[in-house]
Amino acid sequence: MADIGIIDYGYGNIRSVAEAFEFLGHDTRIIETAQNAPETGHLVLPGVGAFAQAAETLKTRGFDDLIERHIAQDKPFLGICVGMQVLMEEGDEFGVHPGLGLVKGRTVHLLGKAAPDFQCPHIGWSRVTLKPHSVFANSGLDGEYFYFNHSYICDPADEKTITAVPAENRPWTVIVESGPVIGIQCHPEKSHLAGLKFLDAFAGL
Amino acid sequence: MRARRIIPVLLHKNDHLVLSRRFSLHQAIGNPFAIADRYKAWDLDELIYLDITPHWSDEGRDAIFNRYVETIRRVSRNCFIPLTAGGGIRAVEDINRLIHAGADRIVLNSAALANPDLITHAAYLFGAQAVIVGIDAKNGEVFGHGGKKPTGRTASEWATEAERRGAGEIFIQSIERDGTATGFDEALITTVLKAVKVPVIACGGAGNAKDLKRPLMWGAQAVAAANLFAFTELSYLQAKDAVSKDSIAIRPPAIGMDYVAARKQREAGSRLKAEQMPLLQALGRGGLME
Repeated sequence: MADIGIIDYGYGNIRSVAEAFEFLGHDTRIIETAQNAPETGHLVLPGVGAFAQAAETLKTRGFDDLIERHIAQDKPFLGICVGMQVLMEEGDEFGVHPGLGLVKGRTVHLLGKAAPDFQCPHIGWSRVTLKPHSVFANSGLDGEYFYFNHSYICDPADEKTITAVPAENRPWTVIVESGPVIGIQCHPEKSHLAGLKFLDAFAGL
Repeated sequence: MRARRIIPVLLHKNDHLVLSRRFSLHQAIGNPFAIADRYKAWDLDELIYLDITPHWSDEGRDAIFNRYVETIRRVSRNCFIPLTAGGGIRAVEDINRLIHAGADRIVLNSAALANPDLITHAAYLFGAQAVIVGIDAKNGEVFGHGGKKPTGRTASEWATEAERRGAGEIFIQSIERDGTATGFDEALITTVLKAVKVPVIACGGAGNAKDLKRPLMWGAQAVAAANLFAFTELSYLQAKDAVSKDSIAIRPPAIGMDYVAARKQREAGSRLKAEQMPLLQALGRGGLME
């Protein structure tokens, strides 16, 4: 079973994410400070809240270095919701703010990318289509419903890093994969069976 | 298109779950955790868990809210569906405590009426998608303090203001239809739907699975009901079944059908197994608990 580090920077539903991994039989360690953080096989950055505060807090508390050290060893990293959005170079929410820059591209408002009549915020369950080059392509998740709760989305510069999109509606990014860095826009820890399968597949990477 | 949501509501009062009628009659239906566990074993789209304990005087208010936060902490354990909490919130710090306890989203009601800036502040800190404004209305007029205090404002006007101030969703509830099983209040719900662009959850009056379809046809993103789901086995699945027949897009239940096994565990006295078994079986991990 995998050893999962979960970063607690004050803007995540840490407990929900930890419980989901524990339910699946994995070990979790909550990482509250970047200094003296334990080395774990997998690292997860949960996220609830707004882009600027999340990105700023990660940097002032040194978690950006921790994440960079982790991915430099080619170990799997997962950002969830805002934890995915802050991976981009910059974000638009409440003014333009710099992100962690681990994935090339920006975080933008959903309305710029989705169909014009798309109701915002995007709250609820939507089906997701996985692309064949995703590491999750064979995890039995293609076409499954996932729970979304957001107004902003990632707009990666490199089309190839987009590995999952909504099944209906104009394509925008649900999953981004760039080397060991993975981001998911929906909340797998709140997506019941499909979400647990996704987290289990991540833990198996 | 996103699937429309069908949302069971649990009402918590003085540490009991209650059924409510017209916001005044409250009948205790049991231990908060036993029913919540059954709901978690089902494959719900979302669970709304509200505290309706009167907390309007300062005396005892902290104790009531502390107990509610602890309840949410326990309900959120192994809760792999979205959990929405509300009731008794007065300040941003209260929201923070509920979210840390495991709530994904929160409902503001009387506190937002008293201090509308709270909506904006909460949306800035937690994102608009986490902030629902609950509106209780009678004859189109908004009432605060659990349906007791008239405000002189119309539901549509207050909904518009709540949206402008940053609410990500509106939870509209008819006081007169509450607990009466006479169907949803069409006039109220359609006026609020016209007043806002954000998604709307309609509540109050669902008597059977067919009733749930109507607000969705009027344009609501979600329907909520309490009593309808509280007593009847399979009622949630029957509701989804009835709604999907009218080509309204909903998320098909993934494992809820197989909760008979969970019921057996519950009857055998193991709540933990009752809660976990259907999900573990669906994951192919049925043997893990032995």
